[in-house]
Amino acid sequence: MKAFVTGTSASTNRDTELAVREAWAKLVAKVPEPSLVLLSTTVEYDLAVVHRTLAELAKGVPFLGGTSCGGVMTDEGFFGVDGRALAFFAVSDETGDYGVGAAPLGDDPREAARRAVKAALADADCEGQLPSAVWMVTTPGGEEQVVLGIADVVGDDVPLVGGSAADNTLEGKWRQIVPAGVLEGYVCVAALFPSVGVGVETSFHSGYDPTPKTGTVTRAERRVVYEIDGKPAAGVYNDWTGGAIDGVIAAGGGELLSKTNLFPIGRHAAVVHGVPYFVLSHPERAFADGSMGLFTDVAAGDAVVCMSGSVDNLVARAGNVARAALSLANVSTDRAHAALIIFCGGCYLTVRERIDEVHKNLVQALGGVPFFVTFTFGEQGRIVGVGNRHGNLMIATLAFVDEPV
Amino acid sequence: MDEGNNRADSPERLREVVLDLELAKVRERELREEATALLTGLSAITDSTSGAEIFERLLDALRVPFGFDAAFVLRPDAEGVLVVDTATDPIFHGARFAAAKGFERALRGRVTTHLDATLMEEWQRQPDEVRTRVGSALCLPLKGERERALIVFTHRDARAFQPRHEQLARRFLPLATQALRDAERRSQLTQANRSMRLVLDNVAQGLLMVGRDRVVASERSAILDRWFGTAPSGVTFDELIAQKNGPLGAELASAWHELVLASSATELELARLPRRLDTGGLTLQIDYRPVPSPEAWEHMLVVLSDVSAEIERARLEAEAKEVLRQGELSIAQRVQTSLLPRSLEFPGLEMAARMLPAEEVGGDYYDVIPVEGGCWLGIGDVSGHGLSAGLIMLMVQSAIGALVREDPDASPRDLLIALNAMLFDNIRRRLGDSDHVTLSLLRYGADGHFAIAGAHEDVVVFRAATKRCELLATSGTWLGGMANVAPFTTDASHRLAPGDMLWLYTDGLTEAMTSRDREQFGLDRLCEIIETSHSESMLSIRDRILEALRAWSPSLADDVTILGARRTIAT
Repeated sequence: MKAFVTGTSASTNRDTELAVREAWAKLVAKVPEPSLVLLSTTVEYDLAVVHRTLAELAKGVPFLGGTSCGGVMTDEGFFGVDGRALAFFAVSDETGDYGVGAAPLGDDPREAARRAVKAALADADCEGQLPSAVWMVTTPGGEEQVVLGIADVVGDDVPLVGGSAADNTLEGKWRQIVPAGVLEGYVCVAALFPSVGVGVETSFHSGYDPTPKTGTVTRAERRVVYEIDGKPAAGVYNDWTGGAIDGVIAAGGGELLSKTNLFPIGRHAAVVHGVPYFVLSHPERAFADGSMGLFTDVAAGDAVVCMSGSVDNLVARAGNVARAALSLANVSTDRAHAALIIFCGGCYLTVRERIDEVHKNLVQALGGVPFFVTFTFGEQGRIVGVGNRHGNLMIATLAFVDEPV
Repeated sequence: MDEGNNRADSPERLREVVLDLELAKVRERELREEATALLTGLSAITDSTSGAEIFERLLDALRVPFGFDAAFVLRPDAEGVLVVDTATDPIFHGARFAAAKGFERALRGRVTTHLDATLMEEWQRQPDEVRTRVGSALCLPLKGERERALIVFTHRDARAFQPRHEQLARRFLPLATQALRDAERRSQLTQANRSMRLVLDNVAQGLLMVGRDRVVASERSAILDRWFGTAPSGVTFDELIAQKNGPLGAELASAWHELVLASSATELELARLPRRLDTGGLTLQIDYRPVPSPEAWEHMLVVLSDVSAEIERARLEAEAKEVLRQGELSIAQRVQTSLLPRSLEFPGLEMAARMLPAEEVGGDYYDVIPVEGGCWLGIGDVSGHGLSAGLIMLMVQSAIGALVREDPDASPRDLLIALNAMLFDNIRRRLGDSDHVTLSLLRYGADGHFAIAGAHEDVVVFRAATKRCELLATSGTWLGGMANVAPFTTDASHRLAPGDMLWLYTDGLTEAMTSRDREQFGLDRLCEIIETSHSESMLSIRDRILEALRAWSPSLADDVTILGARRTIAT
């Protein structure tokens, strides 16, 4: 076995079991003895069958996965036929350590995250030790607490990359998959301890610019913003976007995702040289009372700004974020092993017509190394100089690279 | 890729550029701190004089960039237990760790962080005073040329060490590894020096370099400190010597002065320098070698060798040899005296004899063997001294006894020829020795006639008729020196009248010397004593001779044997 080998595979076979077996066969042809397997699947497949078949094939190898929005992507391309696809990423690492843990979010996502990451460390046989990175799959809702819970155990400086499971239709069919089974409402974590010489770098960006339209949240409860600057939030947002959600408001509320993809709400994550750095919140629903639901928590007092994006920006964004990860690691593509990418499902929906361009940009940015993309409803990543954060409409990259000598 | 989306003037890209700049600033500051720490660390390696100092200084240099509370170096002992050998905090001194998962992973070469020491087996086994001081730890693996080791940083708080510390640690690994290798090399060097020192100490030699101005260089063998005490800087060689022996120090200073004035350090000039220093129980031999050459010497390499042991060894060897010799003497004397005839009673003869063995047995021999119708008298001297001479004498005595018993009527000549053959074989061939025997054999008959053969001292015969002594020369050669003495051996016949005496003796008597002017006792003195005391008993005459001898030479250098016989009746 080579010291450190990575590979990806995918399938869109109509039959769930065949899809898993087909992808697995391709995977082990590249990575014969996996140390860890990551999975991304759309909910079009029978998840129970996916789990059962994978558990049978993986034979004790830790695996972790979640559902993806619309399709999956690997270095071999985008896969999504009628919203149906699954993909694997595997790493074979002779002297590395990898472990997976999961815990139900329940009423205390923070505590659940602590338990999950501790379980992952124990599963890697590295209890009490600092992992090189944490990969996570969770359920939309409570991600901020999950990020804090993970930091409680490993600190806020450990690269954390992950996404909230998604479905194709915003119907809440998102799930997590670990050896224990197909899970709903769980936070699942993989602790990564790659072998000597292999490092991990991450990046976390949006593809949006701030507009002059800003305000302050004056009433909010978790993910629902009731008022901005003392006015109903949906109305303020509608004004900022020039009536992007007129129809929904007129209808007394409704789903917003497809209408707000290019106009997320930004919140200051940091100010660098006087220039604000934003994490994004994706408005996903307007309610009859004029309030608005987001995919992130928000609190009264938060300064918010209407962000503006373009399809062009989003198409280029994934490649830029991947390139940024390598840049942060200060390595060129010939010293990159693989990349794991979290791509906002909302963004995917916006750029799906041009998803091949996204793929092309990623291939170019990563120099042809294996990469694995899952489309999520909430992204977690590390902002340099700030720490790990949860956001929407974000792109996060975790790259395995040669450690500097 | 759409170039338009990546233009630096788009707000989004501008923000990223600013972010990158900020990151670059942070990185630059970190790198500057790292570089400073690296330089300090490098200086620790290059300036330190010992392996322990290297790590002490290195840990000190790393304290700021890593922000640890304490740090220590762990090395596996022969049983695989990790033992602290350098620590910034005394509580870790001598601490031992069983290598569990955390340390094992680090020992495999991975920088490892213990986020929460309370969860780690390694730390759980430590005493309370350690556990309460360690919330987290960062382990740097070091791979030396001969061993693996760990540098461990500890912090009171859990999760104090984060990925940036690991990243920093990875950058410091080459330096830390170099430190370990340097420490290893220094340890090897120290070990080699120790071995060399052991050798030097065992050969008990001290080396020092002395300038023309007699000042001793600071680099010198440690054994010199043991001999002379720690000398102050600038001490001169003569001052060093004078500490033990003032006059010798002055002698050295003077000779050195002459040496410096001389055009070159010739053997003659060097020979004037003192060569030996005796100081209570210690004897040092001093050798000098001009450096770089006798013609243009600038320094003198001085080698002081402790020869006390050699002297003591020589003394002990001499003592042992003496004990051995005394033992041999004792045996030889016992042999010599135990073989002397027990009775000198013989009809018609009044006899007296005495052998005085010298301090070292000389190998004198005399015997009286009664036979039908007479008796045999023999006197001789074996060359050499000690036990071997005694043994040869024993051979002579035994052989003569046997030969006489076998043929009591044989002529002295025939007996001597047979005796010689036996002695030649035994002394030359079997003992591989070169000793020989001077011997006279005399066969005396009841009628006063006697035959004599063999080369020994002249026989003194006192004639009662004239009251004077006469000397009968003996003829022949040494026995044992050649295979056949027949051609040189003849019998001579003489007779004793009643009242006549004959005296046989060995050269120990006549050649005994005064200690003052080394004058020999001589035959004349012997004859005079005999003549003046002839009317006395033989025993009395013998005693007078011996008294005179003792007065002449109180200490005997050689055995003295005297045998006298006086014919008492006419037959």
